[in-house]
Amino acid sequence: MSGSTDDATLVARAQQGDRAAVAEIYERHHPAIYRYIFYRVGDSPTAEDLTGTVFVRVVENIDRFVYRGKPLLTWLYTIARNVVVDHHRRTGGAAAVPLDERLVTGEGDVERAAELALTQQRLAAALSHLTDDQRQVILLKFIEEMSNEEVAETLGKTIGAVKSLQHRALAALQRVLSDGGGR
Amino acid sequence: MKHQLDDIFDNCLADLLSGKVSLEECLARYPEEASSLRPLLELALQAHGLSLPEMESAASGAAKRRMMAALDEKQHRELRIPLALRGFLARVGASLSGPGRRGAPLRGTVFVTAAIALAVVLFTILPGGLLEVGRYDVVARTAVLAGVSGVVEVQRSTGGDWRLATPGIALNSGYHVRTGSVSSVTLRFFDGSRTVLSPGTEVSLTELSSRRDGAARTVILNQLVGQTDNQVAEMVDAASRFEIRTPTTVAVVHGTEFSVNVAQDGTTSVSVREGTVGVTIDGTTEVVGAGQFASVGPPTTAPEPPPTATWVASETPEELDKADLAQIPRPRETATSTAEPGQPDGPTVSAASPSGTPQPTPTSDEVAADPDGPPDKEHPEHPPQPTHPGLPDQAEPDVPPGRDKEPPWRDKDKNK
Repeated sequence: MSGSTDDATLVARAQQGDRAAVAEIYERHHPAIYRYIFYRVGDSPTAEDLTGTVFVRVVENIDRFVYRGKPLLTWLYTIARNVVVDHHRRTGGAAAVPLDERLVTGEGDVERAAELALTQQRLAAALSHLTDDQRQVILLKFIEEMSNEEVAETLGKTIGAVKSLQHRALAALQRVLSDGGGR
Repeated sequence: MKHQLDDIFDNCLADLLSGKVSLEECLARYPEEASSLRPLLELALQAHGLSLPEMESAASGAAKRRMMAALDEKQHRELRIPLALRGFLARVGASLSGPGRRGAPLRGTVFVTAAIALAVVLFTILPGGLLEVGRYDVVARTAVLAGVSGVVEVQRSTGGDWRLATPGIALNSGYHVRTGSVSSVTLRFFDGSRTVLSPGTEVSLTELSSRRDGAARTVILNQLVGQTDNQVAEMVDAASRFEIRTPTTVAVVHGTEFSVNVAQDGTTSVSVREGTVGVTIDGTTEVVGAGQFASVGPPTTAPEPPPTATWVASETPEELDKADLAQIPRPRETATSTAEPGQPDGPTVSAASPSGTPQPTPTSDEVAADPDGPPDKEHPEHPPQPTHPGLPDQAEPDVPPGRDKEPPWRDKDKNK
C-alpha cells in the first residue's frame, strides 16, 4: 500500500472516530513531529509537551481536515509550526537552547552523549536563524532522510524548488554557524 | 546557471549520501565549483550523520494519553445531541412504517413536517441555546508538568501515596506536587501561566477551573513550603484570578511575575518583579508592587505543620558534592527580618534588592550538617516509597517513572 493511500485510509478511519487509527497516526508520526519541535524550541521537556499539544489539536481538528493527496505529515507539520509559534508568543521569545539536562543522567558514554548533545544544540540554535522553508528542508532532507520527491510532496513544492532551497538553506546554515550563531 | 549549480550540488549530495563516491571524487568532477561546494557538502554530511533526538518513552506515553483523552472528550461531546436525535428519528420512522400507518398518508405528512421542524430546532436553535446556557458552567482544568529536573513527585490527594512524576502528565485540582532538594519542575496551567517549583518545595493544586467559555480562569495553589516563581498570564476578565495561599498569607495576583517563599516555620516572603500582588493576612491586604517584597512571620497560633517531604537519597546525583550542594537555595528558615515590631500580624512591604527576589541563602552550617536533607523533613504520614507504581487514571505514567538511562538521542545508524 502506498504512503498516500495509507494516509487517506488512516485519515478516513480517524475521522470516523476509530481509536486505533488515531493511535496509529500518533505512533507513526510523533517522532518526526517531536524532532521538528525540538529543533525549534531546543529543549526536550518543552518539545515533549508541545508534541502532546500537537496531537491533541490533531484530534480536535481531524474532522475538518480534507485529504487532497498530500502526506498527512504535511498537515501535522503545519499544526506543529502553529503550536511552536503560540509557544514562543506565550513565552515571549524565540528558541531557547539550554543544554539538555537529562543527559547527565545517562549511565553510558556520558562524554560522547554530551558531545552529541552539544552538536545537536548548536545545530538547533543555528537552525532557528533560518527561514521556515529552509529549516524544514534541512530537517526533512538530512534528519528525516527524505528524498527530494518526498520533501517536495511534503512541502508542496517542485523538485527543482527543493534542490534550490536545500542549497540556499545549507549556505545560510553555514553562514550562521561560522558567525557563531550556533553557540 | 543558478539552476545548474543547484543540480550539481544535488547530484553530488545524492552520490555522497548513498556512498557511491567520496567527497574528493565528487569535487574532482566539478573543479570550478569545488571551492563553493566543499563547505556545503561537508556541512550536509555532518547534519546527515547526526543522531536523532528522541522523545523519552514515558513522555511519549503521556502525550499519547493526552491525545486519547482529548478523543474521548470529543466523542462524548458529539454523542449527546445525535443520540437524542437518533432516538426521535427512530420513533418517527417506526410510526411511518408501522403496519397500521400505511393507509394514512396525511398522518405521515404531518409526522414528516413535525420531524423537519424538530430537526430545525435541534440543529439551529437548541445548540445556540445550549451553548448560551452551558457557557457559564464552571469546568475543571488542568496543569501540565514540564521541565521536570531531578526527583519530582505527585500525590493525588492529601494522605495518598507519592509517585514519581513524568513530564507531560496533566494534574487536576487536589494533586500535590513536591520537588526534591536538588530538583525542580514547572507547572504549566491551562491559562498559560507558569509556576516554577524550586528545590524543596511542595504545593497543592487547590483549584483549577474556568467557565466553559474560557472566562473566569481560576488558579489557586496552596504553597506549603519552599519557593515558587510565578509567571501569570494576562487576566482575561475581572473574574479571573491567580492566587497562592500559604500558611499565613494569600497572594492575589494583579501583575505578572512574583515569587513566594514559605520557610519551614511558616514565614512567608512574597517578592514582586513585575506588576502588583495583593498580599492578604487576616483580612488586611497590602499591595506589593514591582521591586518590593512582603514578609510575614510565622502563624501566631500553632498551625498544622506544613507537610514536608522525605526525599530519597538517590535523588542527589553522585556527581554533586557538598560544594555543589552549597550552591543550592534552601527555604528560609528564620522569621522575617522585615517585620516591624508592633505589627506582627501584618505583612511588611519593603524595597527589594535589585534582583527583586529575597533569595533564601543557606548557612554553611545548614549545608554541611545535612547535605541530603534533615531527618526531621520526613513526613510522618508519607514514608519514602520504595517503588513508584503508575498513577491511576489519565495522569498515570505507563512505565515506571524516572529517568531513562539512555540519553535521549537515537543513533540513526542503529535504527536503519
